[in-house]
Parts: sequence; structure tokens; C-alpha cells
Amino acid sequence: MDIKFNTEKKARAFVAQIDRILLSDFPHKASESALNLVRQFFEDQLARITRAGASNDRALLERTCTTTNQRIFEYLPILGFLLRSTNTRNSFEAYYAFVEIAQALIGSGANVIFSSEWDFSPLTYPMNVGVLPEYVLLGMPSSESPNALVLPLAGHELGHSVWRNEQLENKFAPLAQDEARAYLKANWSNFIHAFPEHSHVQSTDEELSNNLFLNFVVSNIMQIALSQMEEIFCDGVGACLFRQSYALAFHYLLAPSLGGARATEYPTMQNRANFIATLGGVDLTKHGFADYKSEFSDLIIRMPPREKFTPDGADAIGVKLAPLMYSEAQTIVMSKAGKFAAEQSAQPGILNKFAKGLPAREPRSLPDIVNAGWAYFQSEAPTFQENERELVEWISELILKSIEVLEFRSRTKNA
Amino acid sequence: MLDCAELAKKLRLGNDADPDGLAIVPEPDIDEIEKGGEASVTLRLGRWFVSLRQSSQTYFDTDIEQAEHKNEAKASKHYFVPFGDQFVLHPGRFVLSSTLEWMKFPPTLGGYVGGKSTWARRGLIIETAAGIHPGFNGCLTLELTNVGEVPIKIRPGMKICQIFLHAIPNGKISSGGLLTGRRRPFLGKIKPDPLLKSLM
Repeated sequence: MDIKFNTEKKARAFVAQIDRILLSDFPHKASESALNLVRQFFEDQLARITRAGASNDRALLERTCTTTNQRIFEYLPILGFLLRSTNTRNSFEAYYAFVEIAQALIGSGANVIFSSEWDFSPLTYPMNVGVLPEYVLLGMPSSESPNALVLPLAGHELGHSVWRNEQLENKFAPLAQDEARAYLKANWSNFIHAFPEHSHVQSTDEELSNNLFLNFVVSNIMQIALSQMEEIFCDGVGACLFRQSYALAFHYLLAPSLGGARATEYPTMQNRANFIATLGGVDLTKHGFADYKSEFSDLIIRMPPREKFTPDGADAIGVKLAPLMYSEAQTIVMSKAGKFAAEQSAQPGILNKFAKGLPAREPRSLPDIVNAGWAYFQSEAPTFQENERELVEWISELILKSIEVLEFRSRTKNA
Repeated sequence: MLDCAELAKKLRLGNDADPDGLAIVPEPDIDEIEKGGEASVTLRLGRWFVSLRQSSQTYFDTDIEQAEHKNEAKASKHYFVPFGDQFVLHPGRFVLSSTLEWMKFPPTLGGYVGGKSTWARRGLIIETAAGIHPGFNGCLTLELTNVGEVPIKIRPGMKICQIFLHAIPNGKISSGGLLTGRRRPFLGKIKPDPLLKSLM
């Protein structure tokens, strides 16, 4: 069988899979519309293969088939994500509240897909889905889907969409490049130690501009630093929207670490925790953490100097620019979606209802509800008798019903 | 049975979190109840549905043991229907749903849930286990059946049922604990019955 035949087969099978998923019961229409967009994208791929086959250009056909293979590889997990958005284990009551926040942050055209992951970390989902530019994909780990206490982590994923929508990579790339060059100059002796074959090079501005290898090093540091800056910004969005419940959910899910070697595109866990604690706008000592950062650990792997130099540079830039990233997140969130951000004064009233076994009567926002939920959880956990019911299940009932009441009030306010 | 004035009083107490009041969230229009003259509180349909589906399970056994509840879970399918959307109940079909409202009864109140005549006359049966015990907490599970001959579209948020309340003078004991509340319909557990066991 030739590659054209095989690739067409695979693309058609992909479209057939979409058609089967489209037969599902979709609680929210966004998943269905996303599937139709992906379907159209693969119909277009099939048309491209047909055209390439008719051209008698073998190189063009190979490129087209490779691209199609690559897209099947990239989009198959998206299909799984869309299919899982139909699963009733998800905390669907929170959907509307997230749509409101997403539309405030990104624009009225924003679509939200609320699903679950077969991947424990909700913070690693590839967010750049080319065919779905206006879709915000919020996925909780499937085992935690019914747990309303982890909802604040969706704030981080909203952050990725804000980063893209505000074109912050373009905005901060020049700064990241300047910082990468400054790092290289400031750590020149380490550079020479890592790359002794370049010891003849001088760290002048002229060399930094003209020397191809130095350009390569600066570019690598810059790219990793930009990834870290995006992650820090996303934590800033989550922390600004949810305040303490972001820190508490982050700790619940990820402390002390997920093990294994760190991905350098992310700041270290300790750095992230430190940013959340010091820049997140909440005194976490009041929420049970004398030293939040020390709750997290990172596996230190000894690396040779030439492998270590680039991530060290990115880490240093991440640390230096973290206050700017949090400030940027704060500015955007408060100017566009400030009315949804947590207010400490709103928590006691909701907590009082939870303590009486009732959902919130007139909640103001999703973050207020989840913050009160965490306060209840923290106060009850030491003495809660789980033989009758699990605490997380019980508080999730009250949180999710309260979020439903929030939606009910929002939809009926002008009735 | 409580009349409209007494109902309104209990609901206002509930709004103020008085332990003798009836708390309903989201709360009904108390002024409307007070002036309306009806001796009931109308409740709305929630968004979760549970249907029983055909599966390898051949029956529900009234002597079910705890371990067999997994089979019940296997035989049920959950649906979430957003506001603005609908669930179609076909003739002869049975589905569990719940009230949109979360309620907390004081020990001094009990009651019954009943259908709305508007729907009953079109074949929609709302509830067959109608008693609400003092201390009930959570959303009421409704057992919906279409006994008519025409499919019925039901929509979350629609007025679906009504509760009638009875005072329990000097009531101090609640049937359930604080932690019994549920927001979704559920099949519930069959309680062990030693007497039945001894008869078998």
C-alpha cells in the first residue's frame, strides 16, 4: 500500500471517529461545535492529499502525508478530551461560571470546554490548538473531576488563553531576549566553563549580536524563559482570581511534587510555590502554611555544565520577572474580570451557610464560593467523621450547588 | 397542614437561618406564597437525571446486599441538562430527577411532595414516595414517569412539583444527619431488614 492510500485511510478513520463521538449526549454545545471544526479541518486534509496525489509531485505528496500524520498525532488527544467532556463525573455546575469569566477575560466569542484528563496534572495540557483558537480547554484530572475544591486550578488554564489572546509572548519576547543577553554577560565565566571551546569569544555587545553560537545560546535561554514566564503568568491569573483557594488547590494536587525530573519549561516547584506565596496577594500563614514554599520539593539532577547553563539562565530570568508577570496578570484580571475575583469579605457569609449544611443563598462569584469551601474543609478536616460521608464529597455537594445558585441568579436577575 | 401564612413564616425563619425555619435555596417568592392562598410551596426541576438502562443486571433484589450496589450503579445512566435545554420523557419511561431547590427541614416540620395538576393531566407522574421527614436536607429526588401517550419535554428550572407541610409539635428529632444532603438524584441504599431476613 502506498503512503497516499494509507494516509487517506487514517484521515478517514479519524473523521469516522469524530462522527461516532458526535452521537454522544453533549451537556454543552461548545464540545460539539469544536468537534465539527476539527472534522472540517480533517476534511480539508483529505482534500489536500487528493490534490497532492494528482500533482505527480512525490516530494509534495510526502510532505502532505507527513503533515496529515502529524495532525492526527496532535489532534487525537483533543478528540479524547472532547469525548470526556460528555462524562457526567465532571463538575458541570461550574461550567457557566467559567464561561462568564472566560468571556470577560478573552472576549464574548470565547468558548469553554469543560472536561477531564487522563493525566494527573491539569497544568500541562497543550493549549495551542490551532483549529480551536477561541476555545478554552479546562481539564481536571479524571480522578479529581467531582472534587470542587480543585476548580481554582482551571484559573491557570484560563491564563494560557489570556496569554495567547493578549499576545503576551510578543510583548515580553524583547524583554526576555534582553534578560537572556544580560544573563550571559553576567555569567560569562560559567559560560566559558560550560563551553570552553568558545573561550576566545568576548562578551561584548557586538559579539552577542554577531556570533552565531552566542545568538543560539541567547535564543535558547529566551525561549525557555518565555515558557516559564507564561507559566508564572498563568499562576498569577489563578491566584488573582481565586486568591487562597488557588494556593490550597495547587498544594493539594501537586505537593510535594509529582516526582521525576522537572520540565525546564516550568519554573521549579519551589519557585512557583514561592511566587504564589509572595506575589499571590494572600498571607498563606493564615491558611495553615507557616512556609508554603517548603511544602514543595524538586528532584535535583546533576547535569553537565553545558546542559545546565541554559535552564539556569531561564530560571534566573523567571525569578527576576515573576513580579512583573504577576503584576501583568493582576492588571488584566482586575480590569477585565475584576467582578469575578475573590473578595475576602464575601467568604464568612457563605461559610456560615456551609456550616449549617446549606448552599450559599446569594453568592457573588465562583471564587468566593470555593474559598468558603476550602475554609470549611480546613476547619472540619481535623475532626470530621468520614464513616458517614467523605468530607471532600460533602463540601463538593455544597460548593457545586452554590455555583448552580450563582448561575440561577445570574440568568434570572432581570426576570 | 400549614396554610400560606404559616408557610411564609417558616420560610422567612429559614432565610434567617433560624433552626425552626424551613430553608430553601434558591428561595421561592415568599410574598407570592403568602398572598397566593395556596397551602404549598412550588419547586422547580433540577438539571441532573438518572435513567435505568438495560444491562446485564436482570433484576433489583429487595434483599440486596451492600456489595451488590455496584450492579445498581451499572444499571443507571446519568444525564446533565443545562438550563435552556430539555429532556424528553417518552411514554412509559421512568427517570429520576431532583428539585432545583436544596431544602433543610427543621425537626418541627414534615411534609409531602406532590405533582402539579397541569402536568398530571398530561400524564406526568412526579413522585411515588412522597413523604418528607423532619430534618431532611438536600434536593428532593423525584421519580418521573410519563403514563400518557405523548412524549413530554421537561426543562430544568420549570415548575415541577409542590410540597405540603405539616407541623410536628415539639419535634426535636431529625430523621437524617447534617451530612445527608445530595444535589443529584440517587437510587439510595436498601436498608437491611432483619425481620424480612427471618421470614426468608
